[in-house]
Amino acid sequence: MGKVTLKNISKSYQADKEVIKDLDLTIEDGEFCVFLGPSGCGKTTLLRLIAGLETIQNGDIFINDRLINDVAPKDRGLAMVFQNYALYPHKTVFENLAFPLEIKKTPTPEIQKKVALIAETLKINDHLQSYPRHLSGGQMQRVAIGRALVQQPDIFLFDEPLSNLDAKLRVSMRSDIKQLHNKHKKTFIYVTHDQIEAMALADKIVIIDQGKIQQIGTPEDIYHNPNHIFTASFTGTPSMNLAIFPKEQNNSHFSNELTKQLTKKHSELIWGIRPEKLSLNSEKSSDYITGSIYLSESRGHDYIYYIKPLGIDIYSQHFTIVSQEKIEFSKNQNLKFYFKQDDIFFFGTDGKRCQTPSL
Amino acid sequence: MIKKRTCFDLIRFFILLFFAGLFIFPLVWIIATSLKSEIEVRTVFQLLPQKALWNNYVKAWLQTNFSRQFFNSFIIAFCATTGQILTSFLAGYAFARFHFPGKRIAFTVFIATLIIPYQLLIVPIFMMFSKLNLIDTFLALILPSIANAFGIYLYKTHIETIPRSLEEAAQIDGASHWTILWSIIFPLSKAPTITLFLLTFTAEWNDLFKPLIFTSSEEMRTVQLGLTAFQETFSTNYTLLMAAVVFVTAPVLLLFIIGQKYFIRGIAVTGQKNQ
Repeated sequence: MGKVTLKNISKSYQADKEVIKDLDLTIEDGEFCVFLGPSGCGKTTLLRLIAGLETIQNGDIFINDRLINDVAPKDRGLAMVFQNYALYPHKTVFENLAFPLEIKKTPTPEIQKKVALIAETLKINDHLQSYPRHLSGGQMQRVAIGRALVQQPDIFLFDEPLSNLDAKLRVSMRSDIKQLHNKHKKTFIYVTHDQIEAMALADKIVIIDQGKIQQIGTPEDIYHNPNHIFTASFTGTPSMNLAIFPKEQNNSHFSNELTKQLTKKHSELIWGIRPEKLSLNSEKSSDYITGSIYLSESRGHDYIYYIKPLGIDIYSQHFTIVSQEKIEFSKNQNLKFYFKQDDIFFFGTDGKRCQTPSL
Repeated sequence: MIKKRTCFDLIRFFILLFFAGLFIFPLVWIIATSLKSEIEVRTVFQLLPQKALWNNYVKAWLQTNFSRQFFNSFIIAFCATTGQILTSFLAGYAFARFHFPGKRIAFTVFIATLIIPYQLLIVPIFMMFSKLNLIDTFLALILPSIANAFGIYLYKTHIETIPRSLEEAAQIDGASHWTILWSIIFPLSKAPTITLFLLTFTAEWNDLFKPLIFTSSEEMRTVQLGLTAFQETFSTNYTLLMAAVVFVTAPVLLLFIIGQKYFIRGIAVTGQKNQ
């Protein structure tokens, strides 16, 4: 069993600066939960609080309904994989894997059996007598995961475990971690700032910003139904196009009825649309924005185009569209980019999502 | 460019050669003198002996109670060194990892003790030891060297370079504080440990001042005091003295040769910043 419950958790390193602010969260047994957020948002601190490597100032942490605020890390029934692998440099791979078992005074034959099994699973059995300095990044990460697995805990904590690996290895390790979760069905709590990693791995994503949870949901929920401008702009590659909603009712992009209804409730609004929801194809919709393309990027399977939209006050850093087909364009050539009004998100100035009125 | 480089290398080579010669010459001179006869030393102006008299070493060994003095020096140097490594490691770890009030001040005070010459402390230490009846015992020679600010500094700067995540990983793996200290941090502190071992062992082995002040009996004499046996009021037997110097220096020289790789690393590591 590996249910984790956080109640009113607060943590600050300086008296006036809270890193985690009054946070509540429940992670169910066997769930793959990913803490996603930018650097410095408090996600690693949260993980370290669960691990017991940091002390909480306020609130309670429960594992399977047992209060563990003052329980030592070793007695919390969890294992952790660190960002820098944290392998003991003076010990061989075998000794690294055996260390947690030796501490628990496991008999030697059992240690050898368990280590061999883990090494086999993680395909590191050829390196058992090597020192960490002789391993590649991927192999080191496998050993680090192995050291966690060998303890057979109920909860696994991962602190940005793939961030030191190259892109190709990251994808391969990502699927290995997912497979491990599917196989062992234990609770995985995973910290990352990479939203693609989060989307690929998670059953549940917890979006954290400035020590606060912005949204909790499945990857699909987070992507298709962001409840905050931060979530909307943090997820998706490229991120959501955001612009200030025009107050004048005679604008050409939105129906007068919609504008009237929205501006009635809110003095100022931000509207957003995912880049892949804009298209040159007019078949699906009659709504469009006009703009010129000033930059294009090929991703092999699709293209990203950077647009300078006409008459639109951009809120996000760029305004982009993602297209499966190559667009032939010339500089300063105005094109029409069509969209469906259903694909538009509206956010208030406080960042919270406004429900689109029925049209 | 290549020419410039070769020229620079050549200059560097000769500068290094000069300094190497400067350091090696006394050693060569000592060994050469130890193999000469007393008359040859005083009459022939030549570095190498005309005939090597290996018997000088036997004579020198028998001149005074060297086996006892070697034993004394070894016990004192070994205990003082082990003690200093132990206290320095624990204090260095505390300064590197723990947060406690007055940490900075305490560390500054510790470091400041390095500028106080030992000679200044000898009178109060002597008085204290004589009250404790420690004069002319091993403890009188071991205790003053059991803690040293330099060792603490060496370990503190080194431990600060060890990633904290290693300790945290061990903590989660179930290791106690003590286990982390001795099975993770200490093995990773090989460089400062060997450096401190070499420096302290050499200093203790070569120390003449403390044994001279704190010991009086023949049984408590150390090798450095033993060397004085070759100097008499009106004459000095240089050949035997040099032979004795060779075997008194040999253990320290051997230790340096074995540990020089770690010694350089240990000294170099003190210049590193926290990772």
